[in-house]
Amino acid sequence: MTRRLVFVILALGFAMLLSYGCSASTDYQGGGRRLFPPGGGDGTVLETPDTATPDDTNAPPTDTSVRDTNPPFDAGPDIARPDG
Amino acid sequence: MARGLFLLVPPLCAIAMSIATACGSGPTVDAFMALDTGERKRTTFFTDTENINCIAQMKGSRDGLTVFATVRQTQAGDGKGEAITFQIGELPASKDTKSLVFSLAHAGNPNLVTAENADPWPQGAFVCEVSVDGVVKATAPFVIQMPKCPVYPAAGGYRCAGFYPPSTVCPSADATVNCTCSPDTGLWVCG
Repeated sequence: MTRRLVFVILALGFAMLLSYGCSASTDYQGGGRRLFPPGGGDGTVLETPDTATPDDTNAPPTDTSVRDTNPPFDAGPDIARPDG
Repeated sequence: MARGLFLLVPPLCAIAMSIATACGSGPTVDAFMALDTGERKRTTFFTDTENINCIAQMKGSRDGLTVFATVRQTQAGDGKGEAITFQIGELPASKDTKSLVFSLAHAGNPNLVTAENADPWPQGAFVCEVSVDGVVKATAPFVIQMPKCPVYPAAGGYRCAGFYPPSTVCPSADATVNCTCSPDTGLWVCG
């Protein structure tokens, strides 16, 4: 009687192990498919969050094409010539 | 005398095997198919799969090796047997090479066909054969199937021919409207 019970328990355990090992979740064959129709289109793809800092998004200052009218600072004549 | 000869057999076999390993056999190669560089192994792909890669994982590689990957179609979409060389590729390997990725290219010039405009993959059964210096070392069988509907919502005017079955009905972005893949135009017709 005890022997038979042990045998039944072992058989059940083996069956459970088999079903775990052969579960469909380990054999998923989807993924990696197109998320846009061929030729483009808007699609409905979730965008990844924009991680840019606010400074990155500021447009550069516009070029007014006006020449810099400030004269450069004149440091005076060069007096450091060793041969002079 | 006979017993002495018998005792010599194991060491002779060991020597022969070590010579064969050192000279002729080269690296050990394991081949499989994946959606990416090997993280997502697959044996089933679809006509609208974005990337199909044949991965060769190598053990015991050495400098100056040439590794070939040849993809053959063994069965057409209708189940008929085929023996068509679909694509070939070649990559160099060195002693540090652990893995090589061969990407299958879409029909036409791969430099001109963008992923966005790529044609569908052909249906059928295929095998990727990886050979090292001309000797086939590993094979990876896979199939390409035609799914009933796209992952994205079908939209009128976009191409469906080749990707999905003719006359297949699929949901659009508007849940109240379905789209049909027109067998005449090969485009989605919605409403």
